[in-house]
Amino acid sequence: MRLAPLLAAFALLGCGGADPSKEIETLQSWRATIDLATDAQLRGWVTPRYARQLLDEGRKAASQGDQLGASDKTRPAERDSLSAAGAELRAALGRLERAGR
Amino acid sequence: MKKIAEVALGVITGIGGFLEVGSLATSAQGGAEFGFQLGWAVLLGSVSLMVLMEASGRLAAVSNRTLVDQLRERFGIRFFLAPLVVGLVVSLLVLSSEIGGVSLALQMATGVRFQLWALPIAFLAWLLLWRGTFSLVENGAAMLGLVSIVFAVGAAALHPRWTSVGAGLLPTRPAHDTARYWYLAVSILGASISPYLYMFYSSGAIEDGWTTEDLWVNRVTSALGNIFGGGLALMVLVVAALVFLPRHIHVDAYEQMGIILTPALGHQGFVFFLATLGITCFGTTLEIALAIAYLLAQGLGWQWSENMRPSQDSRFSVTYTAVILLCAIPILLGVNVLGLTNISMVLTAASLPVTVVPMVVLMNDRDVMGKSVNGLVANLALIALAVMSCAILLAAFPLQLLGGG
Amino acid sequence: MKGICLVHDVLDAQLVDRTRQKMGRADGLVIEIRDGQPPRVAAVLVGGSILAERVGRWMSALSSGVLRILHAESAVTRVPFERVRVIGSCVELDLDAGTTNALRTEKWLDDHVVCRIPGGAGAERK
Repeated sequence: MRLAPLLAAFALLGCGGADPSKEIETLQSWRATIDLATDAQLRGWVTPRYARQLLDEGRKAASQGDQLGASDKTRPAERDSLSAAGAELRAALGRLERAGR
Repeated sequence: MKKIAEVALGVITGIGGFLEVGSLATSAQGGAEFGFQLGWAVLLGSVSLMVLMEASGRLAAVSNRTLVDQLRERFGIRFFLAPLVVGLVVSLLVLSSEIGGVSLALQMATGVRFQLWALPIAFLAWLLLWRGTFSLVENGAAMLGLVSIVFAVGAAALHPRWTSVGAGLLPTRPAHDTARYWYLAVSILGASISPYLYMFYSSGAIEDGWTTEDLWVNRVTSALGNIFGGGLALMVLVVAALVFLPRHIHVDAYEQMGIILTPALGHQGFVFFLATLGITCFGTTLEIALAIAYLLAQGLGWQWSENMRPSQDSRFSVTYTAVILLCAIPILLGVNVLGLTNISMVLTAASLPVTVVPMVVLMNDRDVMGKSVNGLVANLALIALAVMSCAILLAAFPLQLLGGG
Repeated sequence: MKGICLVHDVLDAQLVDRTRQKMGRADGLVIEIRDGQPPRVAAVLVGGSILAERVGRWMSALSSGVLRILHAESAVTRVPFERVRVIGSCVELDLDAGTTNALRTEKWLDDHVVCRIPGGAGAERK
């Protein structure tokens, strides 16, 4: 049946080339997540092992932002915004890491 | 008295069994990105499921045949291939997502990577199906699933403006990103109106020996179970709207959801969220594995019952064994669980016509339903559902392209 | 004498034996054309290959291919129509399913897979 190729096409539909403005939103979203997690960590609401998982996911998101920023297809203005958002995320990740110690 | 107890149990099962990986993810995403505005999709999904479950339960009670039986017997093998293949593909995807949901809950709790949990969870699910009865599978997991009431508690603790929540129950035009709004609406509908649910429900009616005397039990159970269960999904959306939206947090990974209840309930919010994710996804894992086995067994005429020893219905029991193992593999390989969930919810919504449209025919067939054929209201509701399901099918691909990122 | 609507009531119907054990569905029917006499419903057929033929040539080819890979033979159960006792919500047959090929796969799985797993065999109901 022709179902398998159709399903594969369907899955790939949502995986278009990365959009810098969406990537900036993602980085900002992760920064806010990490800030909320830091607050929760300091209050003892979440476990350190969970916080470490969020740290890992946050770092992955930051590195994806770096990759897009380094791409030739990214315009200079977008590159600057990505860089700024990435830096804010990294600062938040640093705060979460220190909160866990 | 016994019937009242049965109704009460059925309603509790409906509430405790409503939330699962798809409804948690889609409601949270909806609330995080559009506030209360997608409340209407949750309401529409629950009401639609209520209509379909009541119809499939009534069909089974009156005709002593399940929905799958009737699809094969009334429409023949050529038509039946469509719901069979589509139902199988979609259910397998959702089953993988559910195993992924349990695995992630355990990862967040223990720190052990989610991939390593896939096989132990698959084994435990298989063991419960191998040794357990239908009643244990249906009621046990759903009773434990009542832990998801924590979302109602959390929502109340955040003091939302309930009038605004109520306003969200009517569709409004989104202020931004229309494609994404409708994509999430379709995903929410797919999470609620899953064909495996009403196919499982009609099989359950036969497993429980329902007759025409149980029609009122069916009506009350399907109505109250889904209204209250849908209410819990709405509470997930409300909590996400109050915790994530003001902070501009989009749900891009399940791990982000671990903190969703902490502003409201502190450490207990964290613990109860993990319990909700793990238990509800595990219960749904059991249901979907059985639903897939029911679909094949009933469609092809094999012996089947969860209450029989596996050796009495070998093809049925080997089927659920094989599918649980098969669906654990993507999780073992580290597939992105949220991505898999999102795709499977939209595909589920798109697959509705192959079951809903024939149900319009079946529920009006006096040879099948006797005196219990659909009345005017039931027909209007089912036909409206059939039209909506066709509209979703047409919109699914464009929405995945435009709003699925 | 009441007539039978073969397609509506028999084709694709659930078949059960004397003990009400399910033994597949009526995947096909054999109608005998006899010289100078009216056609006669000769048998009910149960089997995946019959089902595949009804779907289409591509399905037949796929089904044959799968059987070749598994080194298995196609098993079609032919039940004489005289064995049909009742046509209702199921079609009840006057025979023991165990004496036919209809449960061949079921028995094989039972002997080679299910009964080797603890808890697989035992009393009929859990």
